Amino acid sequence: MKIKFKLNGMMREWETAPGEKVLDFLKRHSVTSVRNGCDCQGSCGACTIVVNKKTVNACLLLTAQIDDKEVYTVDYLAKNRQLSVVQQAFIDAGVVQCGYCSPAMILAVTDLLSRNPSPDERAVKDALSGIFCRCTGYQQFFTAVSLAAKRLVTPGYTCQTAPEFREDLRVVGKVEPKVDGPRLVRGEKAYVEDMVESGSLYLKMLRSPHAHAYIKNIDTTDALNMPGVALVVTHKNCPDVYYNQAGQGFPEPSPYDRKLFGEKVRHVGDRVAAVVAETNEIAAEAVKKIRVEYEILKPVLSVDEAAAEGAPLVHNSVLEYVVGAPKDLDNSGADPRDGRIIYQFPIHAHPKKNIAASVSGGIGAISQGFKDADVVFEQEYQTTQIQCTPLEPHVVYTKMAGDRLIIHASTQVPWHLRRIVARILGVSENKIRVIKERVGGGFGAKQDIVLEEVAAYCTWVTGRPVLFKFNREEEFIASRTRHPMKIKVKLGAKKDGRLTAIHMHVRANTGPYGAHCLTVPMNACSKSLPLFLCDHVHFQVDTYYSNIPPCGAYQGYGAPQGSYALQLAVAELADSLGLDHLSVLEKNRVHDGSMLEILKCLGEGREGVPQKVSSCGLGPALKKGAQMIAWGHKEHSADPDIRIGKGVTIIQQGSGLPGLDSANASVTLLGDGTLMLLSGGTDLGTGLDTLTTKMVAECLCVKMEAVSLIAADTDVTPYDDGAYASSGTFFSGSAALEAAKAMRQKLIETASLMLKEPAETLSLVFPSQVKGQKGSVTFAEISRFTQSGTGSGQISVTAGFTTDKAAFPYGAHFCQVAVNTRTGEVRIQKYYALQDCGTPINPELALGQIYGGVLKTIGHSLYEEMILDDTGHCINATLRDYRVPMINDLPADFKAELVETNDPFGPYGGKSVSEISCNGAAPVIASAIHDAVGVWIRSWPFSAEKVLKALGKIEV
Amino acid sequence: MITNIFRPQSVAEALGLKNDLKGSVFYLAGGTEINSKDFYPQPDQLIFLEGLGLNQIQQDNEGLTIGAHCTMQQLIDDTKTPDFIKQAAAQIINRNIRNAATLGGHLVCNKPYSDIIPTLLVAGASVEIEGPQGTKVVLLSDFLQAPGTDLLVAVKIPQVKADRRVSCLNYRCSANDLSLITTAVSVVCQDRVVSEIMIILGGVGLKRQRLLAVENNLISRNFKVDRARVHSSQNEGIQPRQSQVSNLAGRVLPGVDELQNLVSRAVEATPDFRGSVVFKKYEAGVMVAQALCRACEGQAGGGS
Repeated sequence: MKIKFKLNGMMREWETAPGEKVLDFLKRHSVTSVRNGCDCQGSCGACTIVVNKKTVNACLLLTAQIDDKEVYTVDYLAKNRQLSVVQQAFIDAGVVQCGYCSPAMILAVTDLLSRNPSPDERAVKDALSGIFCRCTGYQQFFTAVSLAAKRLVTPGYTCQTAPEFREDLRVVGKVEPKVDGPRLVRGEKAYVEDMVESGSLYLKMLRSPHAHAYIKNIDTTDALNMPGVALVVTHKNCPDVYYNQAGQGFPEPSPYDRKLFGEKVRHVGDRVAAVVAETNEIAAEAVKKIRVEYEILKPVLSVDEAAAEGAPLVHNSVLEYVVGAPKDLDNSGADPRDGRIIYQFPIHAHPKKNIAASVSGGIGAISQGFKDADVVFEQEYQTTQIQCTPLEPHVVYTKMAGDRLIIHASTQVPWHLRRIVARILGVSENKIRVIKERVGGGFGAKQDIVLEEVAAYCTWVTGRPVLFKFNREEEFIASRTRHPMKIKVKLGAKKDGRLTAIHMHVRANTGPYGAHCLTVPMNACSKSLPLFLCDHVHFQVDTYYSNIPPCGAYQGYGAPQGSYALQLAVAELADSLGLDHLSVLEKNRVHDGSMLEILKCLGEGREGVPQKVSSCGLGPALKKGAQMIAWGHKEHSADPDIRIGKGVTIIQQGSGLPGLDSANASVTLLGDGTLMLLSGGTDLGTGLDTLTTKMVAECLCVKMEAVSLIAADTDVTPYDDGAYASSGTFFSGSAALEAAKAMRQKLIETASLMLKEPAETLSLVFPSQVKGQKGSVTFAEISRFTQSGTGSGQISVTAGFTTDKAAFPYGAHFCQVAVNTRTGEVRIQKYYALQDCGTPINPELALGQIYGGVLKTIGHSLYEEMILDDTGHCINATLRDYRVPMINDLPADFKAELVETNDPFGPYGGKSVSEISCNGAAPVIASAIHDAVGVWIRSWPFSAEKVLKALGKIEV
Repeated sequence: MITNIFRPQSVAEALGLKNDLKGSVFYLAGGTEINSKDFYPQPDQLIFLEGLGLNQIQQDNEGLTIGAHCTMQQLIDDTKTPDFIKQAAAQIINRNIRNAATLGGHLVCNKPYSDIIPTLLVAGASVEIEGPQGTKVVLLSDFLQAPGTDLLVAVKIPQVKADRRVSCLNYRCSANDLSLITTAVSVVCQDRVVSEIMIILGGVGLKRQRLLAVENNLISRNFKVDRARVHSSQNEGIQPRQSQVSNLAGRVLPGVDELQNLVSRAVEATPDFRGSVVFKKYEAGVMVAQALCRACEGQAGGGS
């Protein structure tokens, strides 16, 4: 059938199938700005379009419903590449992070302002009520809308959208346009799905319906016989190569405990077979034709079940060690169907007890610490499984170029991805190119190689391009999640609240495979224990295999769980001593210059190094936060059912992994004096590309627009470990800065020749000049000088950055909650996040990182959780049922504040900002609930049902 | 797989198509349910109703007639819509959905967690349906029990009696979640004495419930409503929960706690991942008690 409609002002008459969704229809006609994040449930709004002046979801419309109508997408707004007022306001306010939701948000705001030229917050919330943004925490959208509204009345209006820092610097610490912002707000091709060429194959995965089973038989004949099916891969015809999917530096502290496909399935959603076919529909049909016979085994779903005597073994495998095999290694009784586990080095695993990894350590003498105590407090805290829910599900597109494999990836770790795929294919790394496209949200889930290697293998075998995109359910059951943990905390303290001993015992559930099984649970200790200065500290970490969906990295990387347990324990201790919580924190907390001895026991699979705190903004953060929330002043409600309480917590993270991470960058001088920056840094939407650009612009005294950037392309840009462990600012930023410094040296040396002045008398001046006592030359003149036939050649420099120094970001979070004692409902009235990220390089984006991190974790504190039935099926694997926070879930008063410090090791004093933001919500909300109603909620989420049970209103 | 979409220009044409077409044939209105991935069974053929012109809202002496193709947002934006209906429609928090979802489609889908259906029921709504036998007007409650194959063309809301007060409340775990509890209560007062009560509850179970036993229990107490007394707790961001209804001649409306228990005992709840039976029954008691108190305290002739 044919429909006739107006698209972005132009009449169109296009063929369509009767059941075709408008979303698919528009994408088929190259309108890429409409996105799909919820598989047509209408719960993400990424496909928002305007039909006859109403915003609607294109995924819930059939093409017949737009016949004879006017349809607008974001593509209409930018005329001649000039941004609309709303698009520009989005960039200026810093609300464009990954950008996957930006076109939808922009259309909704444009529609709002056409109806209501000066909307209040309620109207903004209503306009954006159906659009999910996992990155920004929504708060800055109010600024963006206000800015746009004012500019529509007064063109050119401007205001300060974020505080600025470092008067001595030109672009660092200043609000500057995000370098990828215009491309994203225009809805241009930017993501992996936009790179797909005609003639590509589509991959669909047959997934296990059982949490724990052996595959007795698998028959793919009928699938292979279907017209259009190119390949079916199962455990019978995949490479016999073991690997780990964790995108970590080699050698990884994670076991190689899986192949592409195994004879045993270990979770609901585990891979059984991959089908690649000419269309998605054929692939999906072919998947249904694969016949599988399973031998079903009893699943283990919790650490208690996994640790129980006689528990079913998730990996009854043959164990091998590359180095450090224990002398008593005993592989008797292993079942060959379970395959092998290869350890790069010992991580104290004991698969015959379902232990994937373990570690313990400490400083001082813990028993002495408890002897010295006036009081000893002990409690256990529990966390549930949380999904990262990036708006863009995992996606990869692979193709051949000659004899080389090209991987268009939405990944946090391009180089680790290349290494792992090379291992599986049995080829050398030079045969593979990974191009990191714009990433529609990563949050840790895209640190792991959860689909790329399958598509890569299928392309390598068939020679055909392959697209593999997860649906939302796969994102829940086959991606990565926050580890559920049970954490026992034992504290010893003097009566005045001074800590004498801290013991943490973390029992973590890694699920079916051991990606990050040592390091995430360890981080529960390493990012919480160093906040307190205590002479006697001990920790024990035990990670168990189970048959829940896979766990791995998620923003915070174990720290949110550890922070919840330890910070809440300290709050409980303070309460039991009758002391003010804030004063107990002040009494025990870390300071500028403190020596963190505990870190010598907390290396990631190697010996750690004690670190001195090089900068710490905790003092001012606590002081200002206490003022903002009126700490010590009890609030009362007029409603007798409502009780109001306040909480405080302190948090920290790292800035990459000193001694493990490395980053590199190159800068090249172009003919007209502009610069090309090649950075290995992987921007996930966080603003890293803007940050590295600023490093070069600041150091070389040029305008930001004089620096162009290519990043995270393994063929083009130098090596970088990737975007994880909060390494972007510290490592990738420092690499760019080091490259700029090397370029500066070259420029001065060349100018010295040209001006005939000693280099010591020369300096760079803005814009793009080298000035001496006798004269000056421009970068363009220097370039012409070097590139001429008599010159020394184009100036191009590369620099690497490694360090053994750490730069810890710190923060204090305060909140005020209202607890309804009748309904059990917890509402956040005020949430103030005060964070020290050193010099905030991109202040508006740093604020967005904080808002986003906090709101994500308000989500898991109050309502988000993956819920499994007793067979291991996730029963709420949709965005709606899982309950991601939307704009109407915002705290009534939500503020992020940047507390400036100047770290001596960070680039221009900068430290990380993103992950740390996830560490405060759970403990601070739990503390506030206690302050309100006197009960401690020791497992997240703090649902109304749990609160009512704790209050004795309903039966436990 | 959808093989055909028909676009009738009259009700008669739509009915004819429905009668003639074979297979899995559905009417298509806004499409927010039928086009979603959750809809089952998948239709083979669709009859798109937009061309029927059923998107008018009209007020007359009998009350309000809302065309079945009116969207939820249209209901909110139209000045003729009573406030309590607007409030219920606004409980569909997602504006994109409200812009597309039609009232008729919503009623036909008849989800147990619907926030607007309880309100329409307590308002005494009826529906106009067209079928081979002609036009019929039936109570909404009857239509929902046995929707049949006729075409819903309009929803009729009787003129709200001067002494009727309506209140609707819901509880959900997060803003865009489905309602765990959704309730609407109407009370009719004569000389401030409550003479009629209707309580509809959704969300807690697989089916919507009318709490007749609770209604009868309360009516038998012959109580009187007091002047409105609603706590102003907007600053806390939480809706007021505590209310008070006074007595008449020694006949007392139960206190909130007793009212809650009365309701909780009467409710049939089904456990799911949103809550246990105990929690749902308890929370239903809280919500209904609250809605009842609000209705008693609210402005006569409308909602609160």
